[in-house]
Amino acid sequence: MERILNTIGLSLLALCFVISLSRIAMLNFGERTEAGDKVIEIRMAHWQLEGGIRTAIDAMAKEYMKRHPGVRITQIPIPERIYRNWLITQLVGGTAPDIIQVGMGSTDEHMARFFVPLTDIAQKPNPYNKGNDFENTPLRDTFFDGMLGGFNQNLLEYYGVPISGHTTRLYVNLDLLEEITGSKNLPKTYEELLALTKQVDDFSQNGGRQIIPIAGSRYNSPILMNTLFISQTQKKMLELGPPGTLTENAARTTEALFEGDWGLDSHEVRSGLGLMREIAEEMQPGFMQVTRDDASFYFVQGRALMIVTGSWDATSISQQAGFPFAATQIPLPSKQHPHYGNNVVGIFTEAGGTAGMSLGLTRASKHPEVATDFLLFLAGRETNQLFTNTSKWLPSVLGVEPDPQAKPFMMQAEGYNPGFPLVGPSGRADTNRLIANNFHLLVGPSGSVEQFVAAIRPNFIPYLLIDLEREERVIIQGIQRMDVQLAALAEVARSKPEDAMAQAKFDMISAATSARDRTAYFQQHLIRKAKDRVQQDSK
Amino acid sequence: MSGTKMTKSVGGRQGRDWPKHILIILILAVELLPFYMMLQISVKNNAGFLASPWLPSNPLAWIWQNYVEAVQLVLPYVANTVVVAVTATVGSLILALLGAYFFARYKMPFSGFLWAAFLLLMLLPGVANIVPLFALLKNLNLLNTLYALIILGIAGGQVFCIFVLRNFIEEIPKDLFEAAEMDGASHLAQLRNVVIPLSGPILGTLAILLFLGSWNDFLMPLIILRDPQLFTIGVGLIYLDGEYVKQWGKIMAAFFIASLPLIVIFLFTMKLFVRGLSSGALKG
Amino acid sequence: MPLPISAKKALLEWKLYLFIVPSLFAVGLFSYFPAASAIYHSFFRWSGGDVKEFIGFDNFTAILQDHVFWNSFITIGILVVANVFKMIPSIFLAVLIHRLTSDRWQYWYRVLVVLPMIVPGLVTLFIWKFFFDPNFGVLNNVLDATGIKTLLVSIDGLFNWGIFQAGIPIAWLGEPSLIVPSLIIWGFPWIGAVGVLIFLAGLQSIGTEVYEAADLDGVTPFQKFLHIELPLIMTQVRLMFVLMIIGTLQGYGLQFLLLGEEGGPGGKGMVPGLWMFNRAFLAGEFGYACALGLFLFVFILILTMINNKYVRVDK
Repeated sequence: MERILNTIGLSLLALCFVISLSRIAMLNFGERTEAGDKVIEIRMAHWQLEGGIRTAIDAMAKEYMKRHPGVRITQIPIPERIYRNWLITQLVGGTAPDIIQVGMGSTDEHMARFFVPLTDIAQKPNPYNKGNDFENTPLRDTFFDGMLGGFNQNLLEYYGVPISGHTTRLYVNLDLLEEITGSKNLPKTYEELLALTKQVDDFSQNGGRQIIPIAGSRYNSPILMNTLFISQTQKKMLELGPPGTLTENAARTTEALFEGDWGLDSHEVRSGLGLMREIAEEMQPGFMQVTRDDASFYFVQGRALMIVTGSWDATSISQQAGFPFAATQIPLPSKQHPHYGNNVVGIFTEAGGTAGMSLGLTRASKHPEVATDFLLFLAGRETNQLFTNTSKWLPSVLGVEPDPQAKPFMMQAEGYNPGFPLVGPSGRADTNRLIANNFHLLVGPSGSVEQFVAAIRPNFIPYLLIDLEREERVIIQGIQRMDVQLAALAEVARSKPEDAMAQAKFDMISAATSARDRTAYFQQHLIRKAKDRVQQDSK
Repeated sequence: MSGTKMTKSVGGRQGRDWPKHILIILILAVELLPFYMMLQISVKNNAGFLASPWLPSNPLAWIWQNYVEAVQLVLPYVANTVVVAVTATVGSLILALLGAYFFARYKMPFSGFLWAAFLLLMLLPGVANIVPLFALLKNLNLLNTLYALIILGIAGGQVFCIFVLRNFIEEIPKDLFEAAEMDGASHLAQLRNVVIPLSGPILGTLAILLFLGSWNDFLMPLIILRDPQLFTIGVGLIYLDGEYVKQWGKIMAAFFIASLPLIVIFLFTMKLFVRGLSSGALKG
Repeated sequence: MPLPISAKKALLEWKLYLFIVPSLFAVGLFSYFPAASAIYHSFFRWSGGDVKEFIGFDNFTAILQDHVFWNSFITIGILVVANVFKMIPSIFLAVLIHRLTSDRWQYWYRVLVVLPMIVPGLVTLFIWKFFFDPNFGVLNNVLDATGIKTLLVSIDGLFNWGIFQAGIPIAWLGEPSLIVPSLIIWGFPWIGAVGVLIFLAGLQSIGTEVYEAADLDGVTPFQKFLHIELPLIMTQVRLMFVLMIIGTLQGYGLQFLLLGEEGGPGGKGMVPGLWMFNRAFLAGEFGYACALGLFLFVFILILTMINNKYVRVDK
């Protein structure tokens, strides 16, 4: 009997093995087109696993493949959680797909080493815009942000083609809202928001079901909290000077920090932190452990009244929620607020936003021309329209009509410039990690603003110094690279004075190099100031 | 010690057994809890799951659709993993048998040194190797292939298998070998005719352990594989976990399907495994 | 024992060397070579490509100041001690099963012990992750239902930890101070099927006369364990002990899947292996990671040598 069982087991296994093996063998042989040429495969990787995107990309890929029968486009969606280390292993291992979504986990060094600059095609019109009024417009001017979303400030090159845009909103379950408050009025100011959360708390206490006012997670909560924080630094930002680009702002505020213009103890920072803590108390306890999918889960299952997330979740949520919901801008304290109103100037404008979902071309691509062509296709107005219609996400190309479902998420141009965050660019890894590791002191039930500030104070400026020095290394490396380019271009321009293109390129890189040098000087200036400050503080 | 012969009972009288039974059953119940949860959630949808997370739902309301979708999702991963695990196991055993025979048969010159070399490997933290291994695979152009996983599986299994098999072969009475030699058998033939018939259980146990190891591995596949169609179970499950929209029912169904080949193997080779582990060849 | 062989005969049997070649090749290429390469590269700043920059001992001096790394050793130390205690249930279960009077039951329980092994490790891991969920998770539900939660809240009040509070679900993987306890709790009731079976095998060899003698002397069950069973399975215990220590010291898969690449909130779940992984595959500092790996290897080597000296493992 045992013999028989063993034999059956082993033969089952053998059968599975043979089937699986044949399947794999079939995978390896490349397919051929009808004409007999090998099919060109373009692989595209991204982390947008949200609802609607994969289908949209499929739709666009199909459209492209219809027009170019010898090409096959494969999508490789990678979960956000492992995207960063997946990215490094693929890039370093040389097995990277042709097109990769950039922005998460890709440092400047990666961009320079592994990606192909797209500045060339950015200056030229997009052939896929033939037949509309963008026929003769350079690619970068066809985007609502001038293709800034694909531009790398440190390397001064375009590395990505952005195909979408994003805003963050407060999502509210309308049915639940009506049940709890009896009306469908969305909160317009922070005071109203807080009052609403208290109403929800009452509702939960008095025999209704347990409803979480705002679903939080380690992903969603920071969005809300940071927005509230920068409402408190709005006035300060204006005091520091007229707003410039993101980098300029970051540089200016960092300098102000070292000069003592603001700091961990200044009133705007303290009220910002206090605001963060106040709203954190209205999210479900233990929210810092919860992941974004769990928070969305609570919301769509009707266990939370509100959630703060980006327009990128709208389609997923609408696909799963059995109730109507509305999205409104995150309410800020009004100027009348007794405690927080002082620092606020007004609702934020979203006009300065940059486009998102930026797709870059890797050097590892075996068919760069085809991949580039596909990128141009994606950036064309027609395709972007298809994109927004299928995914319900915001478009990035001007002149594309967003899907009605995406309307509440469109960027509101009216408003004032936002304030500045506590740390600044996410590239400041060490400082950001300091904040993250102590965050529980700020928002945990047994913590407080005081504890948080006390915990980060000793290392705040020293870590910032480390980050600045790292930034400086990258800038210097960028300059060195550029110098090489510049020298080469200078040679070409000199030997061929009649070549207008060469001259133009030389001028552009030359200007960029000077800009780069200025940035480098300023960075070194910041570092000196930081060192002084560290010295001062340790006395 | 010969396999299934049980010793005489050493406990107290029959009557005093029941506390032991209760304790054992309690412990096992908790151990099997994940298994139970997996099964009962796999036939619910999210709403049903929220409503009653613990108890199984009404059999009439079981959602088999979860399984249909899970199969589509997970079957490619299972197929890939089957290929990798089986090939790695078979390859591993063949190489290990050869190697163990070398060590166990005669004390050949240098065998002491080689043996120490093998033993040293047992101490090497695998974690230190990942980085250069990755670079090595890249240089051999093996990245993003299943071959890499198979080869790594074979190389990784060597040390333990040779260790165990050497002990085992040494225990085989020398006369059997001498008899075969006198019949003019080459070493390969000796291996085939003397060693293999006797080592059924131990080979079976090693095979199962190797297979299990390969099945569960996720770190190497995670950094080596790029194409979703090549993914093994380990990576596949991580990806499932990364989906934003978590349908717990489907996920549990997928987990169950990922366990299925193992269940099949275990059911059919259970006796072998239990006997093998108990046979004392692993007495260290 | 392998037969001794004269040099002359050895020459005749040269073909035997061919038997070891494939293994040696596989192991040499995929275990020794990377190890050597790791040692080599630990002296460089290397991001995994073809470009490397020789920086001498810089990596090692950086390690000395790397407090994340040293903290991870503390964490792993705690886990090792915990794992020692976690060996006990397996021994306990093995003894329980062994002492049963009925052979048939023994056999069936053996089978049942093996059954959980069928569930792939990953699946168990993910199911446990789900257990830890503060709102849906089984663990919190059980604690609430059995009243242990209220007990914890009152203890918390005594010591003023601020972790367990009434009405707030316990965030097992979200509260930094709870991460290490969570890692320890993981796997309750800590039965390793392989371990149980190996111990059972060892226990089989105890003769019944010993027990009969003990019964005559009126020895309690616990004393029976201490004086009869434990000494006789010492070899197995030692073997499992060594394997467990080596495994725990280098392990990081558990932490990676439960907590992510940064070791969870507060980085409390960071263990040396995970930090190595993090430095290599997240920060792209491959050379530094190699140096870290080298450190870890030397550490484990020293530990094992100590273990061999004072705790002889007989073959």
